[in-house]
Amino acid sequence: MINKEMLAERERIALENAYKLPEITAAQSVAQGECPVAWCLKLVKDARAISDGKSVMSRDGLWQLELMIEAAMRGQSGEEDLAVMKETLDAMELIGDAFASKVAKLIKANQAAYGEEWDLHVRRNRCTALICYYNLYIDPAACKGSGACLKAAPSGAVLGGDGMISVIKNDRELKNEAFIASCPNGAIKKCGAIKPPCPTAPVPVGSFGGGAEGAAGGRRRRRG
Amino acid sequence: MGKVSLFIDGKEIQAQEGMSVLDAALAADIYIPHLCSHPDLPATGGCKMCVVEIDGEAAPVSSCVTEVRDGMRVTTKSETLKQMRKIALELIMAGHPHDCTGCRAYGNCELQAMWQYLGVLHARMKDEFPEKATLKIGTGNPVIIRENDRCIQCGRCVRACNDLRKVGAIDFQKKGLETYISTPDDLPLDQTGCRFCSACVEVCPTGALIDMEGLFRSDLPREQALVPCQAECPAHIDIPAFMRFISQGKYSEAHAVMHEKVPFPHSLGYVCNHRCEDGCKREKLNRALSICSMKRFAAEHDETNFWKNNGFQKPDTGKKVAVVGGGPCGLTAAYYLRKLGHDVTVYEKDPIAGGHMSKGMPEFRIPFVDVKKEIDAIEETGVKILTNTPVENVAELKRDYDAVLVTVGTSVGKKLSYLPGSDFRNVYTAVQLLKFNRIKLVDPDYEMDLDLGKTVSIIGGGNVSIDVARTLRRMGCEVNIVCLEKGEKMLADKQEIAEAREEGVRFYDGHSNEAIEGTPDQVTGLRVHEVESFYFDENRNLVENQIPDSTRVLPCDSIVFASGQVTGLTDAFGLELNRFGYPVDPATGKSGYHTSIPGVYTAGDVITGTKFVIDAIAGGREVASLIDVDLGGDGKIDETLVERELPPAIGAVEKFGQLQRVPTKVVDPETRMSEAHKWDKVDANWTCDQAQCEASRCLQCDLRVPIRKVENFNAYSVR
Repeated sequence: MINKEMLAERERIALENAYKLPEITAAQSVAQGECPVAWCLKLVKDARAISDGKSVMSRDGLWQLELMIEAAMRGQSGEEDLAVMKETLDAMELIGDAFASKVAKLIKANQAAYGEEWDLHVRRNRCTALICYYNLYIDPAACKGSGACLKAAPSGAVLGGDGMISVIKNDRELKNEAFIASCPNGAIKKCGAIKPPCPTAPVPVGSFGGGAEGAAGGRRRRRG
Repeated sequence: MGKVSLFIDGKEIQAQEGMSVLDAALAADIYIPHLCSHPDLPATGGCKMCVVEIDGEAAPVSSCVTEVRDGMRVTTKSETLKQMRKIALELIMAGHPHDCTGCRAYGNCELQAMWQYLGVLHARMKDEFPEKATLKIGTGNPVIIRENDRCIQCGRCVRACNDLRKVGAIDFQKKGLETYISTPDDLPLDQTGCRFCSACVEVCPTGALIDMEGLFRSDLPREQALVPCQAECPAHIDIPAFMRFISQGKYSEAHAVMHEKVPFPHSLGYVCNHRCEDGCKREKLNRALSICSMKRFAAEHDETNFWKNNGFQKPDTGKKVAVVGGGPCGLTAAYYLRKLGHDVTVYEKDPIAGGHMSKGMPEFRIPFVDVKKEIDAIEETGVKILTNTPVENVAELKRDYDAVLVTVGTSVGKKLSYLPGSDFRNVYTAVQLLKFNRIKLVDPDYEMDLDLGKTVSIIGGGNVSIDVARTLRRMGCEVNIVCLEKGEKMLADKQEIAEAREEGVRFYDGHSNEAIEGTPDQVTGLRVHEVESFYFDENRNLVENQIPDSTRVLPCDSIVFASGQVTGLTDAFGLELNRFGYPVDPATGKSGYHTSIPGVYTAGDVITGTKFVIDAIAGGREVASLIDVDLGGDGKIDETLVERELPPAIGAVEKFGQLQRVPTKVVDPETRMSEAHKWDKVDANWTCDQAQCEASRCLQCDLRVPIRKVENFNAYSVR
């Protein structure tokens, strides 16, 4: 049974919602210092917030994309997942309504423009912008030995003391903005796979000159 | 609308203009997979299962929302389409539980059939939804069970509730980024406008919306089981239809609906034991509809009685049928046999016909004038009723008739002969007493040898016992009821017991009888003792746990046994009887419609034992049909006395699920025991507003029956 009014209304909403999405060029020109993969995650979450959720692509499709992108950002995804994602995006673009189809187009454009970055995420769990994947270290030159990071971290994760340069032992539970912001001197910093020279154990503020001691943590990794 | 011609997978088919490509294909026996479409609901193209390729279109389109056009060329199966459907189904299934076992829709699930058809399994998509917050939202009610984790948001229920029923209790909702189906603010259904019509359950393709277990009988065909009141009624009166008419103030129409199945709706409205109300789905929500009294209400407010003009009357067949016994069974059979064209004569041994309706229950519960009106309507069809005409031998009677139906019921009261003194002069049965009272009210000259005295003890605690007690109170006697069952366990209806107490009846519940005291000429009392508890052993012997030293004598002048009835038939009647006096069919060795004499039939209490008026009527209908077939007719007695439609749209009623049952008005004890009003009916029924209000509580279970079922792929030859 066809109800033309109902269908016209649905189409109108899909078009109206599609209009709220960014332009294709935005997907292809993510700002410096931002991650294209993270950009797509935000796009999908925004799209889900706008979506009326009444058809499979604008509901289950968007949610699935969100989960797939999150997996790519958490190191829980492989090349076969990228393949499923591509099939999903193709189907969304082809048979989704105007709204779902536009989301798929945006992500596909983003992936085409930033293929290397997506590949880096999925295959090597690295993020150039240090948003999805990063390590933390305490810059020995900036640390004033305030001990604020010790209070903000779970016990044992950070070593240090009054007037000593703090040292991160294990950053697994520390990768969050609140911990990074806990240092009044901005000494907690993000880095990629290569960690700048740092003391391996707390030393008095001002006593670490860098160089040989830090070289252990800064070993160059093999390029993949 | 005109026809168009199109090609589906190269095959030319015809379709109605305005039809969807999906419907056109299905009508041509070509299967296109579809999940969110339903033949009774507007299509939305939401599930993408029904995508097809159309020549000239850039991308596949949903066939459910695409209109047929002349000359259109449609492809329903291709690699691209298969891939699209596969992805869409994988997306749908990602959020659905993986294990089908344990789901009540197992084997009856369109999603299950779909993944079997497409060969899709859970595997590739992400299936953990850490933020899924809407799984456990309850709209708790005892009728519609919702398992949100099985919901695939196809939106059929939403369209059933909004577009089909115009109720609008449920819709797509959003919580955070998540879309789900629920009521506004997740309110329980009984706090919304939900009418509990269960159209949502009917259209749900999965196990997300299901009927509460035990709501419907599983031993009946589905379309019958779906309307439990009608299924439970032995005569299968179309209860939802008359409820709808009453709610609209159309009382004559409602009365006509009742007459389609029973010739005594008014009488039944007083005394039916309303098994319909036990089946009523509303009982699960709060309380069952007050169905029984509606019959009486409709009869009393029918100003036209147009039903009389709409029934069938077949031409005379020349066949003669005698009916022995003018109770509800005999009169019902006589009525239909007459309508089928036979010449029917009813032999009634008493001065008035009507059986228990006019002689076995008290006037204040079922007034004679109302029973008489319904008997008169039967006589108007040409049925002859001979009163004061007992039949001594049925074999002799048969000589003058083509068929004889014996419906003498169980019109003889039973005395417990093991009780010492049960043969004394002032010991009577409930049947005797009630009959005497009823006939005497109609005919003041009627005499029966009854010497009740001032105080009467009634033995037995069922409804008949209460009837006798209340009758005796009105006849000016002091009344004791003695029964084994104590308090709550008493067999009689609770309300009747309460009303009897109000009228001054004394209850000796939890008492057992020892002996009737006095002489054969004059009862002086009943010796009883109290029992703590009792049971019946494997030989059906009563075992009492007597309270010591509780024996005493209740002084009284007479005894009435309200302890069951028998047929009173003897071999002299001419039929083969079993040892309890019930006629048997030698072919089966049991009581049935046939007897030991060909052409002589039995029905009603005389084969079933004492049951209810509605059972007698249902039996009367069946046997009339059977006799007609034996006499050369087609046996068809079903008739439509009023045309009616099922309205698909019913609209919302705020907090409909909480609407309370409207009780009928019971006359206060002072008025009902006063000399002027003591024989007036105790139940004063409703006002029109009250009746409409009560009838509007109906869940209209019948609306669900015409909703079509979606056929799975295996129903189509091209798939």
